[in-house]
Order: sequence, then C-alpha cells, then structure tokens
Amino acid sequence: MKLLIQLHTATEMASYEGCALALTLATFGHEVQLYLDAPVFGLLMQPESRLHGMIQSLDLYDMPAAWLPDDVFSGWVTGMLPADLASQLTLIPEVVNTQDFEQILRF
Amino acid sequence: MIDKNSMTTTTPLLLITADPSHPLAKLALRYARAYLQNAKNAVAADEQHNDSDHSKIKKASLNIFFYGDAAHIANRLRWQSADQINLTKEWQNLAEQYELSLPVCVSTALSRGITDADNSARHQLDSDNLAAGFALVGLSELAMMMQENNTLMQF
Repeated sequence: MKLLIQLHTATEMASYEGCALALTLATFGHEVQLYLDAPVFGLLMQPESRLHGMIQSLDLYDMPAAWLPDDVFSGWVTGMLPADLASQLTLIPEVVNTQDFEQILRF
Repeated sequence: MIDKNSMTTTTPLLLITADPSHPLAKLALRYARAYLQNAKNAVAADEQHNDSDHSKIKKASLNIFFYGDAAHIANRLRWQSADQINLTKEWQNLAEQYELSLPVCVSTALSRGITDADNSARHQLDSDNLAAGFALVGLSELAMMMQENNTLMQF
C-alpha cells in the first residue's frame, strides 16, 4: 500500500506514534512518504526527541526523504539541523497528486 | 463492500486514532455499525435468492485497529456522565454481535496507562484495566492487516 503520513501535532507522543507507524509499515514493504508540518519542527530540532532520531534513520528503512512545507521556514530549519538529519529532509514537490497515494494518514 | 459477482467480501480496515471525545471517534462507531448492518442485509438477501450454494457466501466482517489516543476507548475505568455515549460499551456490543476482534496497539495503550494483566506483570504495574473484548497487540498486526489489499480508513 502506498501511503502519505502527515505529522502535524506538536507533541512528542503524537509525532513519535505517527513516525513509528511509518517506519513499521515501511518494514513490512509498504511505500510510505512522510510529511513533517511546521508544528513538529520544534521536536525535530531537539536531539533527544524520538522524532529526531527516527528521521535520522529513514534511509535505513529504505524510506525517501521526508517532505517539508515549501517555505522559508523549512529552509531555515534545514540549515539549523545536523547534516545527517538534514539529508533525510526535502521540500515537498510543487505538484503532488494525492491520488498517487492509496491513503493519507494524519497525526 | 460486498462484491455481488463473486460473492466474496473485501474487508475494510478502520484505523481509529481519535480520542474518544473527538467526533471522529463516534463517527467510526457509526460507520462500523452501518457497514456491518448493510453487509449483513446483503448477505441475507443473497441467501434468499441464491440458496443453492451457501458455501460461496462469506460472512461480512470488518477489521479494526485502535492506535494512539483511541487506545483510551479500551480503558474499562474511563468514567463519563450518563448522557454521553459510552464508546467502550458500544464497541464491546458490536464486537459481540458480529464476532469482531478489537486490537489495540500495545505501546500506545501502555503509554496512556492502559494495560492487560500480562503487560501489567511484565512492567511491574499495580493493576490492569483493559476492557473485556479488547486485546493489546503489536503494531505489526496492523501492517499484516494492510497486506490484504483492503480499504484503509482513518478516523
């Protein structure tokens, strides 16, 4: 199943649970694209947060770089993050056909 | 969804993540109830028109998975006033009526103080509070349900 999982909620638990679901489904062969919205940027920047660590390991799960909103704030955040974490992030494409995904989940 | 040509069923999967106080949590229950009733009616109607080969008729079913804040629904100690719908009891009744399983992600349940006896002993907790009919399972159970190429809906 091809899924887009969007993380919007600015709590450690919600972002962890959304990301954990993404990694688990990827382990089972599902195609998962993560989208990190601005409210979770604060958690992403905290090295001790579970979201920070899990995004760092996206490539170990053969997952594509997580999408960020295409705006100046995303560019600033990417510049502030360690290089190994920033390499796991990319701006969302200008055109996204949501019909490409069988389901979009939101946390 | 019942495929009337093949008389087989594809089983939708409801991923319930909303807190019991969220309107989506009630909507999930309404959807499940309506789907199961509709499927039951369709099967009964087909039995009337095609009673020569009952073996091809499958019982309508529904896959459900409680994740995140929806784990609160599995807490048998969750009290609320009488004028509010008791989602825990409603899901228990539906599960009993249609022989559904009610799996709950174990890690999201434990992190919200909801545990069964096994996990209570394993993690040295004082007691257990998982409501009857619900079961704590690993997240891999959800991934396995999704392998069946079914329709996934998040509430």
